[in-house]
Amino acid sequence: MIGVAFFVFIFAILTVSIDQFWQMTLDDAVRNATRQVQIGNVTTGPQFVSSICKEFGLAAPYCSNNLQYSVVGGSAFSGASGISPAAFSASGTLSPGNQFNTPSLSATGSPQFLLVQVAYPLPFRALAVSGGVATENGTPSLLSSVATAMEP
Amino acid sequence: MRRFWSRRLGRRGVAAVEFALVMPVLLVMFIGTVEVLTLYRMEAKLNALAMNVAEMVAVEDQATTTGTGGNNGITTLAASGAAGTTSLNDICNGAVLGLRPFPASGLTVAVAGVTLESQTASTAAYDAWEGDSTVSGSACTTTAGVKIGLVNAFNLAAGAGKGFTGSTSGMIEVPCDEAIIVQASMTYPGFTGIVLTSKPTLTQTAYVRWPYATPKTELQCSGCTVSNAATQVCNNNNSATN
Repeated sequence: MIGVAFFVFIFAILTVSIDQFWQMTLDDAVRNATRQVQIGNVTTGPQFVSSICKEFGLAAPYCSNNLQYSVVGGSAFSGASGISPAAFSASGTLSPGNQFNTPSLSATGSPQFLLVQVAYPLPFRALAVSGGVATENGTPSLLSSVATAMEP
Repeated sequence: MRRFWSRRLGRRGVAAVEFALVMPVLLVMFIGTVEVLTLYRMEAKLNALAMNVAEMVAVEDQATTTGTGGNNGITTLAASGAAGTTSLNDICNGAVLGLRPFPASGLTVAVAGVTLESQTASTAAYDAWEGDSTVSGSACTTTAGVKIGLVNAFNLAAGAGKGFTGSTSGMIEVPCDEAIIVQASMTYPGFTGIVLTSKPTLTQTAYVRWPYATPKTELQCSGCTVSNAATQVCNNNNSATN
C-alpha cells in the first residue's frame, strides 16, 4: 500500500514535469510562429500550425491534429471594431477555434496589432491531473498567448 | 507462527517509517520544482511582453501636425483614448491579453520616449515623455509616468548610463533619433509560500528605436509626463535648442 502511494507520488512529479516542459516549448514555438506572421511569411492557418508544430511537434504528440489557434489582427484592442480575443472555456477549448484573420502589415498612419492564442489539449487525460493543476490554468489544455504589432 | 507475523509486521513498519521520512523531502522537491519552473516561465513571458509593447508603440505613425519652424512634425500617441482608438492604455490592454494564462493584476508597464534634439561638447537638448500603466483585475489605467524617470530615460537611451558625458551614443546619436524604452514589472504571487517564502518582483526592460524618425518628425505622447516643450524642433543641422 505504501508502494502504491509512493508510485502515485512519483507519477504526479513526472506528469507535472512533462506538462511544464510542453508548456515552455509551446510558448517558444508560438513566439517564433508569431514572428513569422508579423513579417508576413505566414499568411494562412495551416501555415501557422505547420510553423508551430515544426518546433512543438518534436516534443508533443498529435500536434497538427490537436492544436487550436486564433490569430486576429486589428487597429486597436478595444472598442466594437477592435480585436476580439477568443474565449477559453473550462474544458480547454478556444472559441471561435482555428480562426486566422489574415492581418495586414502596418502602414503609415495605420498601425496594425496582432493577438495570437494557441491551445493544446493534452493527449492523455491522466496528464491533465485533477482540476488542471498541471496545466496551471484550471483546464486540461495548455494555453499560450502573444500580443504584438505587425511589422510595417 | 508468532515469530513469522512479528517479523512481517516489523518489515512493514520499517517501510512505513522510511516512507514517512522521505515523503516530506519529495513533497518539497515537487513543490519547489513547480514554483521555480513557473517563476521562470513568468519571467520569459514578461520579457516577451516588454518587447512586444515596445514594438506596438514603435509602429505608431499617425497623421503629423506641424511643429515650430514650419517643417517639423509631431506624431501624437495619447496616454488614454476613446475605445477603438490606439493609445498607451489600449496597448496595455493588448499586453494583458498576451500575458494569458497568467493573471495580469499587479502588472505595471512604463513607456518612455526620448528624442535627441541637438548635442554639443557639453550639453544635449532632448524631448522626453513617459506614461505608466497599472493593471487591476484585467483592466489598465494609464497616467503621466514617473517610474522610469525622464532624466534616467535619456541616460538609458544615450548609452551614458551614469549621466551625460558630452557625447551621446547608444540609441540616440544624431538629432531626431528617438528611443522607446519599456519597463514591465510584476510581483510573482507564488503557490504555497513553502519553497519561495518571499514574493519576488520581476522586471524586464526593452529598447527599440522609433523607425519613422527623420530630422522632421518625432513621436510625442499627450497626457504623459513631458520634459521640455512638446514641440518638434530638431533638425539635421544639429542647431536646435529647446
